[in-house]
Amino acid sequence: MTPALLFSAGLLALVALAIPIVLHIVRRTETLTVDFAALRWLEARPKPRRSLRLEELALLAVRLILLAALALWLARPVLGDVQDSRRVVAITPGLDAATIASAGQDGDRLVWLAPGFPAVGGPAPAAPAKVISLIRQLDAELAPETPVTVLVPAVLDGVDAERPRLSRRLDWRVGPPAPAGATPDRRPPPALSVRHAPEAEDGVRYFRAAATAWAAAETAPRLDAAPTDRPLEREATHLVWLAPGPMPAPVVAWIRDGGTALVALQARAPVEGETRVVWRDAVGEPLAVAGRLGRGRVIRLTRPLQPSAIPALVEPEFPDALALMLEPSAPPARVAATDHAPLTDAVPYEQPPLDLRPWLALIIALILGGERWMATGRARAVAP
Amino acid sequence: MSPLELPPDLRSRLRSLSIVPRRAALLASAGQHDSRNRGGGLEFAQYRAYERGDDLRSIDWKLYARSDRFFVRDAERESPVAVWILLDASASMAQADLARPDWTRFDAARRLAAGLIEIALSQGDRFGLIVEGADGPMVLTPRAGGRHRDRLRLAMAPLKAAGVARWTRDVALFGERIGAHDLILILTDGFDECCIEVTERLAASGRDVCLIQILTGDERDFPFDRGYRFHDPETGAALVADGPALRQDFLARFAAARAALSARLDARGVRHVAHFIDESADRPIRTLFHTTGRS
Repeated sequence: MTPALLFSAGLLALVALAIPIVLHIVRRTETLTVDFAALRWLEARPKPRRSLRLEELALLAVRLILLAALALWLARPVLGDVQDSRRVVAITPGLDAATIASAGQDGDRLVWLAPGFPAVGGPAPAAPAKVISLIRQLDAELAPETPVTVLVPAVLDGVDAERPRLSRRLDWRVGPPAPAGATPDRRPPPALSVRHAPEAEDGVRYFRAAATAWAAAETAPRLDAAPTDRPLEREATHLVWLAPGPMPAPVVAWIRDGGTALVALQARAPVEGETRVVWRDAVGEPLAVAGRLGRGRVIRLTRPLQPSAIPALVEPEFPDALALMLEPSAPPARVAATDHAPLTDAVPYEQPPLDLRPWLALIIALILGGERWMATGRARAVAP
Repeated sequence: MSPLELPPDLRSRLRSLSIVPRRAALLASAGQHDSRNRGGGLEFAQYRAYERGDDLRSIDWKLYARSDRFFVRDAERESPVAVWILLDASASMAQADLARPDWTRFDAARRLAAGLIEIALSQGDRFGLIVEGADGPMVLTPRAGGRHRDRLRLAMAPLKAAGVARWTRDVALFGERIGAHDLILILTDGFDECCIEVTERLAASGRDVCLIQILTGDERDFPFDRGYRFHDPETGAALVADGPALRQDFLARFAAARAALSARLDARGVRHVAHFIDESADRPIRTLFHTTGRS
């Protein structure tokens, strides 16, 4: 424990200690008036020597202590290295009861691995979406020497692409393997809306071919191809815009509202922020770049929509490439917990010191109460 | 506690006291006070058996004719002594002690007056009251009896000591109302020069004057242990000074002033005594009337 002052200049307020001292000296010279009929036998001698005599020393002492405490409060006292050195056992909600019961020994601090790290004993919180993020937070909030045990399920979801890097070596315990759940279904193929200028109707066929390839056998392709003057349908999510010149305002608004649009080279679509390449040809030349517009995306072809410029249009891989462009798949986020044990090469975090001001404020309030009680008590005739 | 309510212990001590006129020796012997009035008043009191030495004229001859015994008509005898109590009600009388701020000099004077009235009542004397305040004197003519005592107490109860008493203005009235052989008891602090002069004039006119100087405990002890602003309620003068520095000098000068006053009063034949307000009210009466005994 190392006490320190965050704002030492606050101690300048100690100058105020002179105030009660001066008050106690000055008040002494205030004299009470008494009736005294035998005044003529009192000799008006020159004023007696002024001696610096302080009265009511106890009250003065309390006032000095009060002001000193206030000055200390202004100086923001803190206490460093105040940490609970007990072992912390963090348990992921959703583990079975037997694992939880065997987790900690006496003297351990059991917490749920959930936002706020509530203590185990209350109701179990919902399973967190980002377990690794919570483990990083736990590592940052604990002193470097505190031992930490983390209980995680056999399979972690929502992890990053990298193993977490922490400042300490965790006791990484993996719970029993959960029963294998059903693998999620494949996503349905996107429904395409194509809007084209009259002279660009030729390009529609590549997308019709792609939509036909996406559709299951014996079903009609989900394609809505029309000239540009026809408004978009309400449930449309993916638009292919094949018209030169600026896009009309309703379409731009639709994109800003969350739509995804693939625009031809001649079309001018606004894009916010940076673009990145989302489609390359066999030699790595960019074929399409994607950018953000509002909540939606704009994918712009970098070449004319012709097989001579883009040979991939007529390749069998085009439907898959188009689907990946329009609906990029989420990065993999599921990992076996045994393979995701944290690394230990991060720099330890500086722990914030304990702020003593709330406690000091309580003490100040108590001293103030005592001072008022002494100053206005029955024993005193006049309160200054 | 009201100054007019006498505590039981004080009341019992007062019972053994009496008010003794100075010129008692000059009076003939009858009753508690020796009287020069031979015979009684006109009020019939009782019959009693004849004793040797009774005046033959006081024998009821008609009763003798009926009963063949000598009976004497005893008459209510009017007391020859009237006790006047002169109460000083100037502002200086309102002073109280530091230790007991609710008990003023005037309270002590009223208690003393109440005690004197009790004694006068018990010895059958007439008693009257003059309160000398700023608005002129309040005079209650001497009479005897319990009802008159109650009247005096009723008159004293609401009084407040305030203002400056003008004794010299009223001295003519005193000479008019107070009989030449009455006993005058002056209750004052004695700080007013006019008051002492009036006392001297009353004594010079041949009246029997007693003065009880009522002093506070502060004037005797001077317990002021810090700086005070001393304020004279009558002149309005004030003095700011440190108590301990003043004490020695004040006590010496005040004792000298009291000695001078004592010598002055002695020279005029005024019996006098000092009474401190934190003392019991029977002490000055005992000192005044019982040290020398009856002559």
